Amino acid sequence: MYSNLRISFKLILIIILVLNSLNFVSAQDFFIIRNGLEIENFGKFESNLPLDSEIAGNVTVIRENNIIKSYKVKLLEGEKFIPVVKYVDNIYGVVNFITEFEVAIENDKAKIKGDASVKLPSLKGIIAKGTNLEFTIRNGVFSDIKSMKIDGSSDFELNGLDIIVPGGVIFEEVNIVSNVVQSLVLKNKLDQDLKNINIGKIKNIWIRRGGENYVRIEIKGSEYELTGRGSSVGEFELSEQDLIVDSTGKVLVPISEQNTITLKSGEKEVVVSKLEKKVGGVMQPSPFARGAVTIVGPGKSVQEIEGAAVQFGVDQDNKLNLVFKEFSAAEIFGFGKIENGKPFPDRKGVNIGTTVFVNRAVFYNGPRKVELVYERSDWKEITTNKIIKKQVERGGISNERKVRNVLNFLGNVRGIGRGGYLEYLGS
Amino acid sequence: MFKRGQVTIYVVLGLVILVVVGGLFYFLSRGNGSNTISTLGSQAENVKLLIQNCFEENLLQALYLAGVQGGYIEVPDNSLAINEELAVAYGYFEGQDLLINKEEFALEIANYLNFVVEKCADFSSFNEFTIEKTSDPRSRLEIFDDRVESRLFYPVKVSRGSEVVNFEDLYVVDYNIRLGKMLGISKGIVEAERQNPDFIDVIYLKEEVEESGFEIDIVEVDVNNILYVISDDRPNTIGVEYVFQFANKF
Repeated sequence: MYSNLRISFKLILIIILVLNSLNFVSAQDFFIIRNGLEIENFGKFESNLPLDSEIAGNVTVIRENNIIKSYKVKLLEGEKFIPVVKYVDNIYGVVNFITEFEVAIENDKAKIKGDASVKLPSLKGIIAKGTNLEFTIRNGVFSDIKSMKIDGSSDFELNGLDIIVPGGVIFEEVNIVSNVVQSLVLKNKLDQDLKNINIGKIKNIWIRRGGENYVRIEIKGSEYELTGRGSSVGEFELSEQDLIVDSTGKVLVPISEQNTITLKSGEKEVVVSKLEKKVGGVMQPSPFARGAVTIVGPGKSVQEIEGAAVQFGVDQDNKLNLVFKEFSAAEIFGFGKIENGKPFPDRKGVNIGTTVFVNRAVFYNGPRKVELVYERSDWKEITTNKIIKKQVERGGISNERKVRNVLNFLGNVRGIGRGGYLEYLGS
Repeated sequence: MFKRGQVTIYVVLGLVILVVVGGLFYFLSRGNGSNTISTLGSQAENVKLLIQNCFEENLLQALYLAGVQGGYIEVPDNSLAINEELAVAYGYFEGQDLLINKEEFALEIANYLNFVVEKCADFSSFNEFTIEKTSDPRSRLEIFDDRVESRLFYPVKVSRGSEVVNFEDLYVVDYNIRLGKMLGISKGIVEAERQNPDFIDVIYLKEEVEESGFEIDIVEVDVNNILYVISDDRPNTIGVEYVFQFANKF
C-alpha cells in the first residue's frame, strides 16, 4: 500500500514536472509565430494567416524596459510570404508581407503595431457570368442532398470563398452515384453574376439562404472538373495588388477601414495594426480583348472556331492588354454584349479556360462611344481612327514610321546636326 | 525804286541762305557718302543672318530630338533604351510620375541651344573683319498649347580697323508645334495610370484625340513597358510630323 502510494507520488511528481515543462514550452511558444514569423526571444506566434505562410524578418530592439519590450521587425526582400499560390479567405494568390511593424510586450500581452498591408502579386481564377449560365461540377462527393432549388438570393461559400448566387439560380439535374456527385447543373436564370469561383479551391460548398446555412455540399478528392456553359465564362488574372488584411484575416480592398491582423496563441492575441494606408486594391476584372484574332462571322458560333475563348484581365502570358472600364454598355462583335461594365454575351457554349477571340468591340459611356477593331496585330479605335495599340519589339521602335521620320530629319538637318548633339553629351 | 541799302540786305540774305543750304547739303552728303562704313554694316547683317539660321535650325532639331526622347536632349539614366540611336525617358515608372513638365522641357532645349548656337554660328568665314561675342548666348523657350516661341540673345561686335558695329539683337523664332497640348495630354495619361495602372483610359484618349486631332499610338514594348507616341499630322514648318513620346514602366 505504502509502496503503491510511493509510486503514485512519484508518478504525480513526474506529471507535475511534465506539466511544468509543458507550461514552459507553452509560454515560450507564445511569441513565435507558427507560420514562420521568427521574433527573437519571443517564440512562435500562431496567426490567422495561411497555415503554411512564412514570415521572417530582422529584429532589432527599439525600446526595452521592465514593463515594455518593443521590437522592430523589418521584413526584407526574400523574407516574405510564400512563393506559392495562397488562399486567404475571399482572395487567393501569392501573398507578401511587405512592411515592418513593431512588437511590444506589455504585461505579458503582446501588441504589434505596423503596416498590415499585404501584396498580392497576382490573382487568378475563374469568373462566370451570363444569361442562362450553365455550370457543371463533377467528381465531387455529395452528401445529404439529392437535388435542390434555390429561390431568392443566396450565396456560395467555397472553402471560405464567398460566391454570390442571386435569386433565380437553380441547381438541378444532380446526378449522384453512391453519394458521389457525378454532375449537377447550376442554372442562372437571371443575368446575374457568379463571382470568385476558384476551381482549384473547391472542397466544400455551403449554400446559404440569407445568413443561415441551407445546405452544404462536400466535394472531396483532387479529381474534379468544373465546366461552364455560358456566353461569358473564362479565366481572369489580376496583376500585383496591395491589399489590407483585417482582424479576421480577411483580405480587403484598401477602401475598407479594416486594417489589422490578429495573431493568436491559445487565449492570447496579438494584433497587427495597419499604420499607413496603402493605395491600390483589387479591381474587378474587366473585359478586354487581345491576342491572335480569329474573325467570327455573323451567326457563327464561337464554339465552332478552334481555340476560341473569353478572357478577363491580364492574359496567361501576363501581357498587358487594353482593359476597359466605366462603360455603361458595350457590344462585342461576334460574341456578345456588355452592360454596366459587365459582359452579358448572348452567345452560349464557351468552355471555361478557353478564349474567345474578339475582333471588334464597341463601348458606350453615355453619349460617348469607343469602337475598337482588331486589324492584323493592332487594335484601332475607328471612330477617330487615331488611336492604335500595337506590339512592337523594342529594337523596332526606332523604325516605326513617325519616329523614323524624325530620326531621319535629325540626321539630315543642317547646323551641327547629330555631331553637336553628341558633343553636347560629351561623347 | 529800291534804295542801295535795301539791295545790300537782300544780297546778304541770299548769301546767308545759300551758305546754310549749301552747308546742309554738304554735311548731309558727307554722312551718306562713307562707303567704308556702309560695307561693314552690310556684312555684319550677314553675321546676324548666320546666327539666326543657326538658331532656327538647331531649335527645330532640339525640339524634335527631345520629342522622341521623352522631353530630354540628354535622357536620364532611368530611361527605356531602344537601341544605339534612341532612348526614351519614362513618364510613368512603377507608380511614379516622372513625366517632364513644360518648364523642364524648355530648360532642356535652352541649355542645348546655348551650347550649340555658339558652335554652329561659325564666324571664320568672314575674313574681312573681326567678330567677337560680347557675351555668351542666352536662349529661352516658351511652350504654348499651339506653338513654341524661342528667343536668343547673342550679342556680337563686328570690327574692321577703327570701325566697329555692335549687334545686340534679340533673335525670335516661332514654330507651330503644339507641344504644350501634347505635354498636357501626356500628363493626363500619366495621372490616369497612377490612379489605375491596370487600365488604359480609352475614353480620355479619344476625347483628347477628337479635340486635338493628334494620333496616339500605344506601343507595347514588353510585359512591363509601354510607349505612348503622340503625333501631330497637321502641316508644320518642315513637313515632318512632330512626335512626343514617353515610356511607361509598370
